[in-house]
Amino acid sequence: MTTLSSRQGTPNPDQVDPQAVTISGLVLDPSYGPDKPADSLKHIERDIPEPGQFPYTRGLFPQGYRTRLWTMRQFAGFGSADDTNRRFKYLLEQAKTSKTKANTGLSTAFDLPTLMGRDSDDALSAGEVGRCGVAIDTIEDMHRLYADIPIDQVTVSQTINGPACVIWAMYIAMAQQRGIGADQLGGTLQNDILKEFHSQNEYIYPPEPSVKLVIDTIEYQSKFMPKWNSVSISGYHIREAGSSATQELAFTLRDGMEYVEEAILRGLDVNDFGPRLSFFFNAHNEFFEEICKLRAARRIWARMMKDRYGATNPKAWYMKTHVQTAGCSLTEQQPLNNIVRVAYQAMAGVLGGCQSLHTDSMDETLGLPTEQAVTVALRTQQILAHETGVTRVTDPLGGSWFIEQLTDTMEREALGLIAEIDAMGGGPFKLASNTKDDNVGGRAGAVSGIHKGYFRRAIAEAAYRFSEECEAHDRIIVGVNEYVDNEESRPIDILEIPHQVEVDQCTRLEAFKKNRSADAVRKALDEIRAAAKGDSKLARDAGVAPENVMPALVEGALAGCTLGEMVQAMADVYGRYAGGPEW
Amino acid sequence: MPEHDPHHAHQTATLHVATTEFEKLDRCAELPHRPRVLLGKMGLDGHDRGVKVIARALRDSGVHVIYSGLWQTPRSLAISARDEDVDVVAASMMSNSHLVLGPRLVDSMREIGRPDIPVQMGGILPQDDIPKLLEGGVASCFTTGVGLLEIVEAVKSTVKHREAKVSDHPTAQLARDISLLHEAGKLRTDAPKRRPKRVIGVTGSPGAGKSTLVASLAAEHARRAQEDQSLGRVAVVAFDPQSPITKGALLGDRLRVDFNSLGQAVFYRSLAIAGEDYRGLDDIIQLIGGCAAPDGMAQIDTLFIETVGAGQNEVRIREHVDTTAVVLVPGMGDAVQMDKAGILEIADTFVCNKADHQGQNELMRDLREIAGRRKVIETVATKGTGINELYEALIG
Repeated sequence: MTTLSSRQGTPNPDQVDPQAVTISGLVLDPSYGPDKPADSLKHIERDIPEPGQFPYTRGLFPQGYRTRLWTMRQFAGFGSADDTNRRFKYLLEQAKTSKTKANTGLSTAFDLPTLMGRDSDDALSAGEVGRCGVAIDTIEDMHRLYADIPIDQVTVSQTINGPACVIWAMYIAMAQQRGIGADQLGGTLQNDILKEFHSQNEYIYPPEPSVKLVIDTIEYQSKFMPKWNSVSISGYHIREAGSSATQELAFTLRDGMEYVEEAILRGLDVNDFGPRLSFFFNAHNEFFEEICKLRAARRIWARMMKDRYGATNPKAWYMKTHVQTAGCSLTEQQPLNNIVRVAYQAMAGVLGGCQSLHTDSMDETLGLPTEQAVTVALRTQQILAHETGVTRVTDPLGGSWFIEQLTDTMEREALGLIAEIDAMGGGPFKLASNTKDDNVGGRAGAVSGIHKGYFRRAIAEAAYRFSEECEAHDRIIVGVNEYVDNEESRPIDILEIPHQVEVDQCTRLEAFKKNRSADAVRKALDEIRAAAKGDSKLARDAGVAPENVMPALVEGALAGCTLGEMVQAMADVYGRYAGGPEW
Repeated sequence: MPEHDPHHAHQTATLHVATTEFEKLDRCAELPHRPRVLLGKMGLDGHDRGVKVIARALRDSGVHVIYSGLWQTPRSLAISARDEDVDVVAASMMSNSHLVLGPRLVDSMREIGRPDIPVQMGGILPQDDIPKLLEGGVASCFTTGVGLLEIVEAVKSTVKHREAKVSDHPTAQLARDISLLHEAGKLRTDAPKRRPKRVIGVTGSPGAGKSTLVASLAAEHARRAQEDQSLGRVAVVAFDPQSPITKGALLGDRLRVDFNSLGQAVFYRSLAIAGEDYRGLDDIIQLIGGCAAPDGMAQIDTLFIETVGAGQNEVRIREHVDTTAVVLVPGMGDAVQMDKAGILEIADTFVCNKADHQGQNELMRDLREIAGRRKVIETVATKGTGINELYEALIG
C-alpha cells in the first residue's frame, strides 16, 4: 500500500492516477489495512462505539432499521392544488394497502413562483405556474391542497425556503380553520435559507433578515408546535450545484451551527429546539464516500451540539437526516440506466443510516416524473427495504479499515472547512456557560462567507473541475461520454402541464381577491410590517419575541392576504437581495 | 476528532485541481471577430450550475461572455442581446417553462430590432419539445450532457461577418457601431456623433463594488428622468479585463442592473480590454451621445464609464471623462496612506463604499485628510444607502 498523498500538502496532480480520485477529489490508496486509529481501543470507544452510542458515527439507534425503517418520502407536486391533492391521496392509498410497517409521509413540492414568494399573476411568474410543483397563492389553495387528508395524523413535509414562514403560517391558519390545533401538526419545513445563498438562489431578502426569519420559525416551533421539524438543514442543493461531498458535509453542518447560534442568542434553549432540527443530504454516485459522509456528519454534529453548544438533551445531539438520490447524476441519454444509478445511491443512503429517503425518478432530466417512473422509484426503495437484507444489521460496514479511515478523513477535512468559515465571522464569543469550548468561533461566519462570495466560488470551482474531468474522459458517464448510443430515440412518456393550469390559477386568485375584506388585508399587512420592524403586538401577546413575524403572518393568512402580498410587506422593511459576488 | 498520529503514513488528501484540466486556449483566433455570447436565465429558476460552467469554458476558449444574471424576462434578455450586439443568445432552461418562454424570447428579439440574432436553448428540454421550439424560431437546442468543446463550437458557428448596417432601430445600430469601433477601429462615417452632457468615470479596485454602485446610479438617474424629461437617458459602458492567454473575457457587470424594471431607460454596454487600452473610447462616447432617441425616449445625456479596476495605477480614464469618482472600501486605509499619488490623485470625488463594514471610520479619516476640497461620500451600494448623495455630488 503506497499513498500518493503527503501529510504536509495536497497531492501533486501530475503524479495522480485519475482512477484513484473520487468524485470529490479524494486520492485513495489501492487498498486499506490496519491503521493506528482504527486499531486503538480508545479510538473505538470514543469515535466508533456501538450504534446508538454518542457520537453516533454508527447510527442513532441500537436496533437500526429493525425497529425503525426509514420513511419512504417521495416528493410530489405539480399543477393545481387539486391535481397534487389527488396524487397525495394516491400515495396514501398505496401505503395503506401494504402489510409492512413502512412509513409513508407526504412531501410537498411547490412551483417556482411560490418558492420565490410571488403570486401566480406576477409578471415574473409567467410560464412557471404549476410546472415544477404546486401553485399556492392563498389559504384557499392550502385548503384544497390538503383537502380530506388527516393532517393531524400524516406528517407533511414542505420544501420551501425564502417564503417558508409565510407558507407555514398559511398551513397553520388552514389547520386552525379545520379545527386542528398547531400542536397537533407534524411535519418538516425545509426552511434552510443559507444554502439558497450558496447554491439554489431561491432567496428573497438579504442574508441577515433571512436568517432572522428562520429563527422566528424556530422560536414559534419550540413554543407551539412540538411535533414539527423547524428546519431541514440541506446539503442536497449544495451538492447538486457541484460541490464535493466534503464541502457538502462542511457547509451544511456549518449552516446548521449558524442557526443554532442565532437561536441561542434569541434566548432559546438548545435542548428545546435542537431535537427539531433535521438534515437533508445528497446520495451521489461515489458509493463509499456517500456512506462515510453520513457517518462523519452524525459524529461532528453530536460533538458540536454537546461540546460547543452545551446541549444536554441527547435528542439534541442526533443528526437525523433525510437523503435524496442525486438528480444531477441522472442522464437524459438512455434514461433507463438511471434506475440503476438511483438504486446504488439509495443503498448508499441506507448503509449511511438515513431516517428518510427520496429516490429520484428515472425521467427527471427529461421533465416532470410520470406516475410509472415515480412507481419504479418507490419500488426501488421497497426492494432495498424488503429484499436485499441491508436492514438486518446496523452499520454493517463499520469497522472496515477503508470505511473508518475515509470517515475520519472526511471528518477532518470538513472540520478544516468549518474552521475556515468560523474565521470569517465576527470575532469569538461564548454562547453558554456550560460549554467546554471557551472560544466558539466567529458569529455569523456563514453570512460573512456569503457576503464574501466564499461558498459560491468554492462550489463553482468544484463544479468546473467535475466538468473538466468529464470532458477529458477521466470520469466516465455511461451513455454520455462513453457507451453512447447514437441511434437512440427516447420514447419515454413525459408528464405535461398544460398552460391552462396557469390561466385557471390566475382566475381563481382574482376571484379570491374580490371576496375578501380590503380593510382586514390592509390591517394585517401593517401588522406584518410592524413585526418586521421589530414590534408586533400579536407577537407580544403570543409570548414570542416582538420581532417574530409568525403570529402576524398567521393572522395575515386568515385575513386573506396572498403569499405575494405578505412577502412584499416584509420586503418593504427588509429590502430584497439582488445577489452577492457572482464569480 | 480522530487522533493524530505522527507516524501515521496513510492520510488521504484532496486533490484541488481537475485530474485533467480544460486547456485555456484561444479557440477563436481564425474567426472574423471574437464571438460575443449572452448567457441568460429567464424566469424564476435559480439553477445556475450549468450556465456558470459553460461561461467559464467559453471564456477559456477565447469567447467574450456576457452573463445576464438570474430572473430575466424574455424582453429584458432581448434588450441585453441587442445592446451588447452579441452573436448569439443562449438561454439556460431548467424549469419546464421553455415552451412558453422560448418563443417569447424569439418574439422579443424581433420587437427590439434584432430578429437576426440566433437564440439557442440548453438545459432540460424533452426530445418531443425540440421540434416545437425550432418551429417557434429557436435556432438550436442542447440537452444535458453536451461536452464543453461541443458548446464552444456551437457558439463559434454563429459568428458571421459583421455588416456595418444592422438595424433601423437606433439603439441596435449604436450597439453595432460600438462593436466595429471597439474591435476593428472602424467608425461609420454617417453615424451621428455628439458628446453627452455628462461623462463620469467610476474607478477603483476589484471588489470595491463599482458595478453595483454604477447600476444604482443609473437606476437613480432613470427614476429622476421619469419626473424630469430634460435629464435625458442614461448609459453605462463597463470595461472588464480580457485574458492575456485566450483573449476571452467574462463580462458580468450588467447583472447588477435591474432591466426588468428599467427596460430601455438605461443603455448598458460591456466591453473587454487588455490592460488600460481605452483606444477609441472618445469615439464611443460620441456615438452614444449621438444616437437618435428611440420612440418616446430622450437622447443619452449622461454616461457612466466603469473601469476595469486594474488597481492603483489605473489613471488613464481621466483623459476621457469629465469627472472621476474613485471607489474605496474599508480595510484599504493603508493603501490610502501609501498611495497619495496615482489613482487617488485623479479622483474628483471619493466614494467610501461598503460603509457598513469594519474600518470605515479609519478610511473616512484618511480620505478626508487627502481629499482637500474634493468630496468624500459614504455609500452602501447593496442597500442603496448614500446613492442619492453620490448622484448629487457627481451630477446634481
